[in-house]
Amino acid sequence: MNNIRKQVITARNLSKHFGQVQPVREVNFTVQTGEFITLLGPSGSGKSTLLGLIAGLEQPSEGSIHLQGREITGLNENELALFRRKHVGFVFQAFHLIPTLNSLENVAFPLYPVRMQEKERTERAMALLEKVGLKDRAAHLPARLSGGERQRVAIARALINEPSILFCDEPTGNLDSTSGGEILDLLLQLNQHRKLTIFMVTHDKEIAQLSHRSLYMHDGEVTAS
Amino acid sequence: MINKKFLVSELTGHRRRTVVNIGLVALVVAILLCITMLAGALKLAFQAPLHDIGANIIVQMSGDVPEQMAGPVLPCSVAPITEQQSTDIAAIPGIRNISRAVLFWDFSDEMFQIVVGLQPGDLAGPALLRDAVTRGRMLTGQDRSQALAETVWAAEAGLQPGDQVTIGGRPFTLVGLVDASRISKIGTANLYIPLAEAQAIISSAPGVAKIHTFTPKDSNLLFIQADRDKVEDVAAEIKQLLGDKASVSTPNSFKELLGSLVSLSERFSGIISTLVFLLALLLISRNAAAAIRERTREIGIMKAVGWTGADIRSQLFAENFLTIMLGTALGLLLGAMMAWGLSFITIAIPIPWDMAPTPHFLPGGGQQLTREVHLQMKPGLQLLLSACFVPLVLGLATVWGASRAITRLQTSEVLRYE
Ligand SMILES: Nc1ncnc2c1ncn2[C@@H]1O[C@H](COP(=O)(O)OP(=O)(O)OP(=O)(O)O)[C@@H](O)[C@H]1O
Ligand SMILES: [Mg+2]
Repeated sequence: MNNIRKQVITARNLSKHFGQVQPVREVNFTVQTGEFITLLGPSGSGKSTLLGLIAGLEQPSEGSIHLQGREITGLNENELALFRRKHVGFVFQAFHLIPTLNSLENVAFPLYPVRMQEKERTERAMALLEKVGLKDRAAHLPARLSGGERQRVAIARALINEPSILFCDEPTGNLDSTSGGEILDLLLQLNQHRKLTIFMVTHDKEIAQLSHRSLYMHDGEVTAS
Repeated sequence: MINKKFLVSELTGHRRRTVVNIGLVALVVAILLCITMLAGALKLAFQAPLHDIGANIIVQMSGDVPEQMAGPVLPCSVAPITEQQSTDIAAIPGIRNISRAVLFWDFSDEMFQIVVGLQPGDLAGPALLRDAVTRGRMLTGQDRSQALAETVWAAEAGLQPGDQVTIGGRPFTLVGLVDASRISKIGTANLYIPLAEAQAIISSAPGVAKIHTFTPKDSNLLFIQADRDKVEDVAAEIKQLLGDKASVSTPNSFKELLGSLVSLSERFSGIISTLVFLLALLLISRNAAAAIRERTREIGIMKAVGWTGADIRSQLFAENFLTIMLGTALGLLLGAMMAWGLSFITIAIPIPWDMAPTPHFLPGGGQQLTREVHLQMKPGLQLLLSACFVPLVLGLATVWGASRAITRLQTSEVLRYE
């Protein structure tokens, strides 16, 4: 029982088909609470597809996934959405901020459908913006932010629901090395101080070395280091 | 739960998209409104000549031309309608009331006059002259040898109330002047006398007896008020009752008279509004779908951060609802302005000679009489409701459909989007 609770992600015999293509083949691995895991592999090896599966964005063709001790494989779209809202944070390579909302509103965005006081929502978003060092950019639209700043807003947004796992798909992929470094520092800090579990897809071997453990993906199959 | 802040920033943030959407809805609503109002206005316009005289059906019989223009004669368009015939007609279901009149020409040595016999208490026909008295008084049920004269004609003849006139060889006293043009151009005359007097004159007139049989109870003009939705049916029945010689006029007859253009445009207004409607359907749904397709990325983000399908749909729904409401409001305003502009247009509806017979040999006798009608662009409640309802239902239905399709989209797309 204790063991299961410590395992925040358990993937068993995971496969995904798209017709003839099978980007994920019989993948098995576990992630413990508080771990910082990197997933490496060449382009097209199936990393994003795997991430989508274990984060509950997409259903696997075969196999099962437990997230936070809960089997998510059988959940319907609605239950998955609510599960993500409660437990999961996302950071994407392309930032994916809403262009018509300012930084503060973007951070609060995941809570928009949640019935709560506007004041509380804003306070929480503001506290996170402060944490990522963008308090003075609260009123800026994404178009007026640098790439690094956008990604920091995206990280603040990913944290607003106090998730237990943060999924990142090449979060530094669109950034220069300086801002990439800053983002990485921020994520490491969150992992160390908040014991936030991070599952990160990356091409960057240096980042992999900073993580607790790396998984390698090749042709849809995962091998541990 | 719909987030107002997000709603507003989506609408103001994509200003061009919002303006185009609102404008499109407005245009469709305005055009739809205008076409429907125009069709209604034309319909009213055709009713005007008959409506003026309080009827929606006028019945006449055509007969032979008088052999000689001497004494009282019946013009060829108003041959006798027997008492039996008018009783039969009155029994047709759908007829609310029927007013009888007698119109005749009266030739004497150096005078010619058009005379109408009326019943002062009638609800339709020349009895409505009671509202057009310019001097003196209207005829009453007790009057026998009293008469009214048409104002302009009386002025030309130098007549005024109190003067004596001779009609069909009998003496009458003028008791009032009436401005017939205020009422109608149908069945207008120079002099108006009680119906019974006119019947007596015609039934004993030798010029009439030569070609017609006219008893003192007969008449030659019927003004009928029928239930609005039964007018054409009643008219058809009357025609059947009276045979080939009957001339039964309804608002439709005026429409046909006005020529192919109007009746064509009226007939096609249904097609036009169907076309506009289809166009609206196409544009609105295309636009709604495009707006949503444009937002695939946003929807992916919403899903990734834990918005449920229902959350996303209600947000998109609210956004489109607001857009369409604004568009509809603007469209109503625009439509009202267009209708206002159109209401300055008048159309001239010709009154057939048969309905106001004047001898051709008189000056102006063969002239075409017309009734000028302003287009009455009246927005009915039903019309307003449908003008609001149509784009709303259309737009929202397409949004609903499109957003359903979109919310089913693979959430993981968001990982791939660059
Ligand atoms: N929805 C889909 N339909 C068909 N094929 C797909 C789909 N999604 C992914 N694939 C295929 O699966 C394979 C793996 O794609 P994936 O995006 O997971 O690779 P990746 O490792 O993330 O690559 P990169 O490092 O370039 O991001 C690719 O060949 C891709 O074309
Ligand atoms: Mg990828």
